Amino acid sequence: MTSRFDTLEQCRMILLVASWIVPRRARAEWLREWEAELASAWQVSRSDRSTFSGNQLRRRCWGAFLDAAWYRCNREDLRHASRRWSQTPAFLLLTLVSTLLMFALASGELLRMRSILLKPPYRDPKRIATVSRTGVINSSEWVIPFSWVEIWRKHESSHVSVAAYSWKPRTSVFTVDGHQVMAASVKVEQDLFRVFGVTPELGKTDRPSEAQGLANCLVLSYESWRRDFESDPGLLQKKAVIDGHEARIIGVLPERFWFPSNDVAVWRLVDDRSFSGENVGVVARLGPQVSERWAEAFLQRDIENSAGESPWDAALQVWPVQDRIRQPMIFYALALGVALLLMIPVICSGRLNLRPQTAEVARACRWWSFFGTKSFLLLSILLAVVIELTPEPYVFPAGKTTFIVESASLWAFSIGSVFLLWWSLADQQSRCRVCLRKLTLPAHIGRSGCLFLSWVGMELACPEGHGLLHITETDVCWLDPAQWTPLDESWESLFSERSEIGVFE
Amino acid sequence: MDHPIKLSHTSALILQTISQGYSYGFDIMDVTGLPSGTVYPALRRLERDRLIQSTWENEALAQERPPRKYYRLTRSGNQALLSAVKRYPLLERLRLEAKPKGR
Repeated sequence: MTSRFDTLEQCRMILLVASWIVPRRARAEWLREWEAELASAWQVSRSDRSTFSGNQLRRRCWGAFLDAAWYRCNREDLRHASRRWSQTPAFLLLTLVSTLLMFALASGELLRMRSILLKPPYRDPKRIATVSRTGVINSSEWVIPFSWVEIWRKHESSHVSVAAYSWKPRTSVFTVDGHQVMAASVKVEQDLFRVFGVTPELGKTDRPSEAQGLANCLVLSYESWRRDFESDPGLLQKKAVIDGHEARIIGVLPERFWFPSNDVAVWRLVDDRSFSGENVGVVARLGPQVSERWAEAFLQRDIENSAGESPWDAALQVWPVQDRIRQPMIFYALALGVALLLMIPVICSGRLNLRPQTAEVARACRWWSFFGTKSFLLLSILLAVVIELTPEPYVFPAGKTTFIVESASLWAFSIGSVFLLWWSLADQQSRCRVCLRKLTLPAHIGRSGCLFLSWVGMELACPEGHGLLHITETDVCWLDPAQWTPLDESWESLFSERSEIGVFE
Repeated sequence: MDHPIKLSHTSALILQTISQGYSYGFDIMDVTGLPSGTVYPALRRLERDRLIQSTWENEALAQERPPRKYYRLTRSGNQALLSAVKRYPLLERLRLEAKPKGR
C-alpha cells in the first residue's frame, strides 16, 4: 500500500513539473484534467482485480510532458510572441550580428579580410615594394623585362634587393600521393622569399642543393596545406606532380602570407633561365632610410646606363606592397562616402520624417544609435562578402587605373552600399518613433490611382500603440513628407486588448 | 464548399473510440493502446479543429474523485469520422465494444 501511495505522489510530482511547460493562463485547467484522470486511474488500480501497475501509471504521466509541450508550441501566443519579438530592434541587430558571424565561420574566419587589415607575416613589411614601368601606354607593358632584373642584380647593393615572379597566376593540377588538387600556382625566383623575409611554417623556402637537378621545387600556402592536405607534417617527404612534371614540396608558408594573389596556393621555385625573354613582376626590399622616390631614381639610373633605355622608357614606379594591399580599402571608403553624400539630401529634406519625435535626449540617442549600428552592421556584412567572394588579385603589376575600372568588388560595394543605406533608411522610417518596433497593420488609404495603380497613402500603426505613421505613396509633391501621429493614453486599452487576444479558439 | 478535414490514422481511431462512448483520456488509452503522449495532443488538435468538444463532469456525479473532462463528437466530427472510415477501410472493420453507460 505504501509503495502505491508513493506511486501516486510521484505521478503528481511529474504532472506538476510538466504543468510548468503549459502557458500560465491554461495551466490550472490543464493540471485539473490530468489530476482527475490520475485520480480515476488510481481508483481503478486499487481494486483487487486490476492489472494496472504503478509503472504503467507513471508511464502515462510521463506522457503529460508531450501534451504540455504540444500545448506550449501550438498555441497562438507562441506565434504571437515570436511575431512581436521579430518587430523589435534587438531582433534585427541580433540577426545582422548572427549573419556576420555565420559568414565569418563559413568563409574560414574572414581570411582575405584579415590578410588585408592585419600585419603581414614577414619582416618589416613597409619596406617591401613592387616595381613597375610607368612610361608605357598599354597596361600590359607595366611589367618589367627580365633583362632589367638581371641588370639590377649585377648592381645589387644594400639599398635595394629585387626578385622576379610571373605576374599571372595559372591554374595547375597538383597531385600528391594520388590526391589531386586544382590550385593556382605562380613561378617565382627563390630570392622572392628572401626579399620578403618570410620564415616558413614548415620546411624551408630555399632550394636545397640536392634538388638542383629537379625542375620544380614547390612551396605551399598555409591555407592549402591545412585545407587540401589536412595539415600533414609528413607532406615534405612525399613526391608531387604539378602539371605533369615531377616536383618536390620543400616548405609551407606561414598563415596569412599571400602574394601576388590571395588564391595562389603553390609557388614554384624556378631558376633564372626560366624567365629569360619574359616580362615579369618585380618585388624589391628597400634598405633602411631608402625612400620610394630614391629607389625609383636608383633603379632607373641602372637601366639608362646599362640597357641604354631613354629616361621615358625606363620610367619606374616603386610602390609599397602594404599600401597596394590596402588600396582597395581607400576606394571602398570613397565609395561609401559617395553613398552617404547621396543619402544626406534625402535625410535632410525631411521627406522620410526620420526625426525621433521626442524631446528626451536619451530616446533620441537610442533612435540614432540604432540607425548607426544597423547601417554599420549592414555595411560590414557587405564589405566582408565583397572581399571574401570576389576573386580579386590585390597586387596587380599595374596601378590604380586598372583597379578602378576592372574591379568587380569595388562596383559591387558601391552599388550595394547605396542599396543597403537606402534600405536602412526605409527600415528606420517604418519603425515606431518611441519604442523602435517595426510598425504593423498596413492600411491603404484613398483610392488606387490610375498612375501605376498606386494608392494615395498608407498608414502603419505601432504594435504598442505609441502612434500612427502616414506615408504618401502617390507623390503629389516632394515636400509632402511622411507624418507621425502620436497616440495618447486613451488608445492604450485598445492595444493592450489586442495583445491579450488569445490564443486558442 | 468546405473540404472535409483529412485525418491521420491515429486521429481517426480516437474519433472512432469517442464515438463508441469512451470519452476521457485514460479510457481512450485503455481501449486503443496508444500512449498518453499521443492521445492527449491528438485530443487537443481535434478540439482545436472543432471535431470534438469537451465538457467538465458534473461534480455531483463524480464520487470520491475530482470531476473529469469528457470529450464528445461534434457534427463536423461525425462527418470527418465518416469520411475517415471511407479513407481507411480497416477502421470500419474495427468494431469496438460499445461502452456501458455510467462507467
